Amino acid sequence: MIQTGAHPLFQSPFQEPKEIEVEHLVEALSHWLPAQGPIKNFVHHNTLHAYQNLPFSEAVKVASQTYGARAYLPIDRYQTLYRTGRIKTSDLDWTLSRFEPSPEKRSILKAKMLTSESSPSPPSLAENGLRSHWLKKYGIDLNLRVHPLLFRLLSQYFDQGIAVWRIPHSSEGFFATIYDLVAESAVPLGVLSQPTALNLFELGPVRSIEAVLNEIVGDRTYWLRYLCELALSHPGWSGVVRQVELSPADLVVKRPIRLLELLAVELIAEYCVLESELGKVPLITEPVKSELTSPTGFQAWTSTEDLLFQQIWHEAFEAGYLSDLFLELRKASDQRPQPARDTPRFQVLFCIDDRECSLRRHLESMDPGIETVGVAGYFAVDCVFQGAEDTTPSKHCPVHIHPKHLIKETLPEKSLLRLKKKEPALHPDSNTMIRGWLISQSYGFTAAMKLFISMFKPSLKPPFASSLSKLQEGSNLVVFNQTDQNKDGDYQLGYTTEEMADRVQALFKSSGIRSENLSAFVVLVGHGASSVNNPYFSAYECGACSGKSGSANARAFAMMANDQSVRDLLKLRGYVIPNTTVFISALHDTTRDELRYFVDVELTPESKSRFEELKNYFGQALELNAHERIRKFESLDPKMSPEKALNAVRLRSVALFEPRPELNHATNSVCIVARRAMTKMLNFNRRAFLHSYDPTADPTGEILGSILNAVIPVCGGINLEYFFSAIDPSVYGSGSKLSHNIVGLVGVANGVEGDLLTGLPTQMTELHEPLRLSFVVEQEPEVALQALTLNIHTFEWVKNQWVRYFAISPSTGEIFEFRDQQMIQFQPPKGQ
Amino acid sequence: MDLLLLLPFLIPAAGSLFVRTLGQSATEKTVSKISLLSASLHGITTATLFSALVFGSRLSARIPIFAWGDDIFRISLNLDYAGILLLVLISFFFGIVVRFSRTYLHREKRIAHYFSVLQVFASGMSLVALADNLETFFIGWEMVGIASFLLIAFYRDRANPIRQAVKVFSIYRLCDVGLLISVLIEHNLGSDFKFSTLRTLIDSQQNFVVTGSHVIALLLILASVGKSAQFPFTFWLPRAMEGPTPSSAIFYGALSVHAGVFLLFRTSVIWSQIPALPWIVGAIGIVTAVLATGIARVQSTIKGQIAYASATQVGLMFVELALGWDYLALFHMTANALFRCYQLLVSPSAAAYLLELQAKGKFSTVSGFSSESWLPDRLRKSLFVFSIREGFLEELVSAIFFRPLILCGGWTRKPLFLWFSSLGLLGTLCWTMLFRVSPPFPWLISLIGLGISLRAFSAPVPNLTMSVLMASGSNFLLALAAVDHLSFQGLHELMPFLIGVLLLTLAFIPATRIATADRRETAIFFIILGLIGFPITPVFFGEDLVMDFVFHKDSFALAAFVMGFIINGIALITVYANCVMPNKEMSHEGILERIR
Repeated sequence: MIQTGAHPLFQSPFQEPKEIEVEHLVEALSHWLPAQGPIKNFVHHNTLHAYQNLPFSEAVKVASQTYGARAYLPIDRYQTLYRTGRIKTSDLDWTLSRFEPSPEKRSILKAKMLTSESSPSPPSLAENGLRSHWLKKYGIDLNLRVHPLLFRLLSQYFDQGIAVWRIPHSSEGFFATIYDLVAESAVPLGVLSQPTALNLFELGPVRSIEAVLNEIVGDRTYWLRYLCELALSHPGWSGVVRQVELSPADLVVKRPIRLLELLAVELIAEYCVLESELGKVPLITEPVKSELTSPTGFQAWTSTEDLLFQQIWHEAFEAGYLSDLFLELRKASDQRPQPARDTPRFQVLFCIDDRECSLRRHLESMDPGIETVGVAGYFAVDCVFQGAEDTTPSKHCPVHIHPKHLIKETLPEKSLLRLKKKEPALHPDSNTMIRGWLISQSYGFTAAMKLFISMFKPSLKPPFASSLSKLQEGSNLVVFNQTDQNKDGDYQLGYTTEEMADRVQALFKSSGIRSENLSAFVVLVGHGASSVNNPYFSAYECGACSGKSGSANARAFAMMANDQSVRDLLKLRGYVIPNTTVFISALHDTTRDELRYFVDVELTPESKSRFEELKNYFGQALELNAHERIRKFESLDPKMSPEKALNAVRLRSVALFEPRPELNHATNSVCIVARRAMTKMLNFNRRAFLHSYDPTADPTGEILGSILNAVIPVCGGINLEYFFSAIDPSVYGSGSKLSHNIVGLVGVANGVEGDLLTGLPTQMTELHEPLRLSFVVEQEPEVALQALTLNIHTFEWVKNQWVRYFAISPSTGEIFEFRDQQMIQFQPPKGQ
Repeated sequence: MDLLLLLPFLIPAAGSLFVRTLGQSATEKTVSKISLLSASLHGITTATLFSALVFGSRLSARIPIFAWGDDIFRISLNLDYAGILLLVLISFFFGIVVRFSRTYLHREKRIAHYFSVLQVFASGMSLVALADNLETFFIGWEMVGIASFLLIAFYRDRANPIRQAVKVFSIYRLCDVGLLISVLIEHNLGSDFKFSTLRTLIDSQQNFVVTGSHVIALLLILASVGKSAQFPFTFWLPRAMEGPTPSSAIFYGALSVHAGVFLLFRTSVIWSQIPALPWIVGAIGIVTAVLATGIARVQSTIKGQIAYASATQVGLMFVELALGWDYLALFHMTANALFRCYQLLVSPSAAAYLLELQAKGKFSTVSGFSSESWLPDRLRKSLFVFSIREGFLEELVSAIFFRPLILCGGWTRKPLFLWFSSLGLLGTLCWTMLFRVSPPFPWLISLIGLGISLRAFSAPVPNLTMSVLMASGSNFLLALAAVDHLSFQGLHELMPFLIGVLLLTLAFIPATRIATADRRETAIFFIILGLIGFPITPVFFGEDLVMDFVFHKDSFALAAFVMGFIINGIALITVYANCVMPNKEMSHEGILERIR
């Protein structure tokens, strides 16, 4: 049962590492580092993005042996799920039959799976290889000796505003900065000030790496392995350094750095430690090297029976969910009378976000005249947005889109600027000697009062809450632009009429809103979140807006669609928006269940009264939504009234001591791209991303393709980040957030000497069932397949099973699954 | 009515015991309700005591708990304005942190452990606030220390919290010896002083200064310096920030870090009498303030910065005390405790707050201008490196204390030591048996005892039981050597101590075999607590007796005994850390690596 293979890192083109320069080695290994950038732009992505070219089941195995993580949940967890009935016997049998055709072998396999015991995670590359030799043979723990100093220097170098006194940095990068510091300072900087270190620094980063590796590793074949172990001994910092290297603009205070420089400084430090402990540093000898199984010096991955069991268990776990899902979908389609295609009185456009699906259901239950539509929450407005007080714009569209347009917020009067009170407790200035003496003795007592009050009547507002790029009261947006020549920095300020018409049309087209079905009253609801005392604030916001709130996009879209010249142009293109139709935008705060409206159009008395009516519906729907949400909070009583529930969720959004203001995307499991009729009556328990789509208007699958291009990376990224953080909270996730310490405003760490943490904290993932996201599209299988293959990157997600892909035929109601490169008919397991 | 004074100590202690007894079986709700009840009762008692004081009642209590001959060990409590001030602070923070943690630690697996330890801390701090003599003060002080250790090591799935906890404990141990010895000296002087009557005592007794009070005073300063993270021990404070944020806030933001200031305030009559000592206190304060503020400036983690900023302010309080501005120091202490606790509790907001300021251009991060920029380039960079290296304080303490220990420990691992100690012990035993008189070289036994102690401390031993045996054995020998030069009369006197050590050591073996992890851990914990001489355990009283014997008699044996006390304490707590850690690859050496 045991299979082995070479690590993908060593498959071509790196067969001959002898020829490879150090730069290329670092380039090659950097691919395997966590791809999480600075914390202010927390964007969900596939934790194992680097492995996406491999099939999912292979990737998790290889990754588990690279990082020392679990591949799946421990077997006893699945066995518990089996005993409690979450995984049914039918699910397990059904899954086994997909793995093993022979019934005899199958029953042997099943018996083994039921009794098999969990094995510990394998050691990571960094713990078990060439570099760990120093610990095993000489008792020198290089991590302990070098990391604290290195992390201190890195966090100082990166510091965006915590330290009062920043490193005297050089514009030439990290290596030069440290070299300069070491050379100029009369005080030794630990091992880095040894004469050997100075000699090495003089060589520059590349040649110093070569010099050290020549001394301690020798044979170039093993260099990549050694460097990889080095980088993975602190994946958090290596990853952030790499991200900043690739996109320096992620930092407000610019700090040029290359991963190569970090590794060079670290190698110099390690060499000096070894030298001072051992005198002459010995070469890592052959026996150590030959213990590594692969000739390239890289640990090959192994596939054991255990891993197979886990894989089958896991798929059975997913099968159980699919069985329920399709049962519900079928039941709903059987019972539901075909809806009359009237023009709805209200059309409300929401983001596909799984946190919105319950609100949509509650809103529709208020009045049959309300239709909700799900679209990607940037509303086809691909832009960067600059708030009235912001000095630089930030991106407000999915990560893979590169916007060219800038939308600016302006305030009619300067006086309207929201004055943010300075909070001395959060300001580094309070931590100096003299000011600290004055502030502690004066503000200390105010702080005590604030603390006391906030314990009993939580009511924290900014400065504790994040309110980055949120729209202000009474502001205007600059959206219109006559020419495409009007530049502001790298971006074009605003959109021309034609560009606006393109965007309005694109949104209607993808969501399947036809001109004749367009309601006279349309509301676009962007979403954001407000939480206090929360370093992960960015992960709470809209994923389709790169971790920002979607209000600017919604508002910009409403302004475009309300514009007469845009409407005229659309009319020429055959899409009529009646003059009486109004577009209004709003921001849904998913933590507080609060709605803020933006009205940028003159309302007629009739639409005014409609607006009032809708506001009223929304008020009730928000209460019901809050009521539905509190069932997932263990600490709240699910029997409280909707009104109280709304109060309760608002209270927790402002409580200093609440680590779970909301549960974010926890439990997400499915994404449905279909007409609303298919999902309307279903309660997805806030687990579904819902995108509206009209299969009848898309015979070629072109529209579906463009939807999938946006939805698969965004929702798939969210899902897999939760997936892996839940599978192994200490390697892929960031552990408990209760002890986190903010480092340089770029990340969080445990204590003052820890590595940066990547992924999500357990407080966000503890309720999450790690299931891969299932995409269900309402379309004929051929068209669904055609749509998928339009974009090779999107196709990779499905082809390699990182997400699961199903199609429901609108004509026959049959279900198809993407498997073995084609759409084949799918029979979900029958639950008992 | 006087016994009311005991309540602030008893209520949380009882609450803690209750929570610990319930253990794993208790639901989170029960545990947090008990803690909330305990915090409320503590608050009510404090309010009652406060009004009693305001209305002029003089409350004080003296409870003898241990008597040996004419030697009486008393719990002595007294209510005064300084005490009530600290007690009000304790009540306030205890209430706030319990309320905060109820929600914050929701679903945390070891929430019962957390609340149990938090209450031990509140109980110990209350004793510190109300203590009227050094003995009582010391009991509270040690409770605070052990609670601190337990909460730094709250997260056990990672190695770092445990390493840092052991490091902090080692420094506490080293400095707390100051308080322990001054308790014992004071005891053996028979002066039986109370803080409340200290001034009159000193005024009446002209010779007080002569009879060892300068030693007491120096030792008390050592104890305060350790607990309040002053020069040269400042480096432990940021490293202690490994537990959940509210525990860091109440320990290192609010109360624990200011305990040293309170000790100096309480004993200022003693040390301010002696001409050189206010200068020493002031110098320590100034040096810490200047160093720590420099280090705080370059800290780029939020908790690290707050820790050094707080140590800076505590340094200034030392200066205020040295200048005789006692009440300013108390005011400053109160304000700083309130402010730093708040700062730590809201520290997760710093990212959102500062990033927003930055986005709006209201926070100059780009210029990099700071008050250091006028310095010449080379000096500036040197200063920067000096601050980044945290003033080399860790290296300094290591070089003076831990490194020599580890170096000596290395010698004890050689076979020569085994021969030397076996022969030495055997020879001494034969001599005593044959001639019925004390051997000519009593210091030999002390030396061997110390050697064994170092062996337990420094080396990876085959198993943990072996370490405990060695630590206890060395305790035994050191006590024997100290008492009347190994005569049999001395042995007789020492019986309670020896039996205590023996029983606890013997109990360790079955304790490690208890099947339920939770119970095993509790058992081991109490055994280790007994063996390290935690107040009011048999070993503690034994130590008191030993001190009684050696004081004024044999300074070498005394020094060896004290060293053994420190080293064995660290060795034993390392054993405990090893017992509770699921992480097997973390070796004894791995933990020790951190304190080098």
